[in-house]
Amino acid sequence: MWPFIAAGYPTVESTALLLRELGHLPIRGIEIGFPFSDPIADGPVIQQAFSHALSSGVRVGQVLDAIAEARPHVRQPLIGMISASIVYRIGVPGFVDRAAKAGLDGLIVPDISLEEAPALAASLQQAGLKLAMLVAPTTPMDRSLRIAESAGGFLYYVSIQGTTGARDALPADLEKSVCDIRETTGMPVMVGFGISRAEHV
Amino acid sequence: MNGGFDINNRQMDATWPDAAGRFGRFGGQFVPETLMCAVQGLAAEYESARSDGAFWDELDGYLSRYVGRPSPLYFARRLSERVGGAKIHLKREDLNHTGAHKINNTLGQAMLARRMGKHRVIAETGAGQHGVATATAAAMFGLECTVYMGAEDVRRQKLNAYRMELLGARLVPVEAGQKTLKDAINEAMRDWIATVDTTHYIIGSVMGPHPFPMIVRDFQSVIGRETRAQARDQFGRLPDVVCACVGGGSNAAGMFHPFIQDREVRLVGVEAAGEGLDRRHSATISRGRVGVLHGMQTLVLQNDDGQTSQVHSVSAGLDYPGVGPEHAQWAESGRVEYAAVTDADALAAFELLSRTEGIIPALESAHAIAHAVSIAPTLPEQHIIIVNLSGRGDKDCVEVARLQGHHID
Repeated sequence: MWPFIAAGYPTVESTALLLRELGHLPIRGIEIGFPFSDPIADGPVIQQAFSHALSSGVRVGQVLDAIAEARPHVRQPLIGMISASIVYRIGVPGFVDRAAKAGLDGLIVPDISLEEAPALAASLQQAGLKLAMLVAPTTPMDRSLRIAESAGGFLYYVSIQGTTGARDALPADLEKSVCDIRETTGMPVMVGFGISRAEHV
Repeated sequence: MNGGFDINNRQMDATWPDAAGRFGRFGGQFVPETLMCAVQGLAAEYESARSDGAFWDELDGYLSRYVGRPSPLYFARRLSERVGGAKIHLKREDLNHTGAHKINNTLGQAMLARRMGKHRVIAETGAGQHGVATATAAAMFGLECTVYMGAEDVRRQKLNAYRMELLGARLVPVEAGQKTLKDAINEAMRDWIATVDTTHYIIGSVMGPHPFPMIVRDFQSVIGRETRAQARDQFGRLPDVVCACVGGGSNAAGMFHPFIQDREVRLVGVEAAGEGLDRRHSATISRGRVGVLHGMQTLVLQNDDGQTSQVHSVSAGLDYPGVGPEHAQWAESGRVEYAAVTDADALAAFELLSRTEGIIPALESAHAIAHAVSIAPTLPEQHIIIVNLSGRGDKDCVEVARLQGHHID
């Protein structure tokens, strides 16, 4: 299990604390969402958390500081989920350098497509960080393979064709889809979006 | 003359975008993988439609018999006399069915939706003109339609909000963020992510991921092609200056694109300076920097963290923190100049055109009028300025009255 937290929510001080607490749980890793003003892949819950964080003045630098503070106390991998807008504003090499120094193990940049990924993938690889790329239910298998070649580490399978947020049910063929992708690409596959109940895990 | 497309000529003009959907370093496809299948499918469908003469013949038929094209090129004699200097002519997109240029694009995209077998369309809208034009095309083609509109814009543009519902569309007011155009686009994209199988997103401007900036520009280029032919008929030459307002930039892109190779024609895009460039505004090209927003790399008003800035314009259609990537490229190459006009100057032009010509312009278009009025006196009398009058101002009367302290609703 990889829990998700919205950084800076409810307060910027809570983020490092929350990461340390989560580190005590039997989880595989933690996904840390950087607040963004226009998160089109996210549903209402994450949007509201991001808006709240931004309106209380949370900055990217503070999120990286919180990660750096918690890092020595958390064994599990920490993956940042961040918009291309933030990464490009700071600059790809500059942001990757800061992410590495803060102790992140990898990044998910949901709005970077396979076509736009090469520069970021190269920069992350040089810094020893993993790039997790999204694969959707609508992604053809040959494209999944090419995405797997670009991704440095693992694939992030979007379980439902939609935005993030709780769903009562997940697609019936989800397990088979994930197995197919894992087998074909030979890469670890993380499943996200719409997971809200114990039996979904 | 009808709105006819000359396919060969159109393709010769289309130097951008490249195969990656780039206009120089702008454009591209910055969308989640959940949308890639949809944008790539759309690109393939458009490629096939683009070389299909029957597609354009059918669209031309709608443009002439349903929209009322060609729209006139009209000499604004009293306005020109009032301000002096160059002669101001108006391309009357305000006379189109539904009252703005937006219908040129929505009919074309509705035809694409039908070609792709999609029975539902969605749209974002700022001033409501694109929402009305989408709802109109949906009614005409028998498609289901949902329009997202910022709650603040619903307030500012009540008449258009009502028109969309009358046309059978479902109107969804968006309460997130600043409750304006940008937030409506976010919500429309979220809808599309979840409904790509059945739904086509009719983007209303030359923005978003490739191929939208190209598709919308091509459908709107009928404006510039007609204007070019009308100028040759009426003046025996091309105009000296062509002027159009820029929010996302669709009416300007459609007007400018056929003139891009005519280096002697000065092209001027007019953005909204709001309360002034040092206060709240939405002058993206004047003050923005390279960033990523709504699926494209372009000029964006954003802070040092890449968070989108709050923007303002009295005109709901120009109130947008990004701009189409082709405009960013034209600005960078210097082919098109970009100016900015304040709320106050746009409101003055709104009244001036009403009183001198009996034409009430949309507040968006009033920005372009204001700029033409400011440069005409500096140019020789024999010069010709063409302003794209992209829409009519009936929709703005209640809001302008409110700003002047009257209540008419």
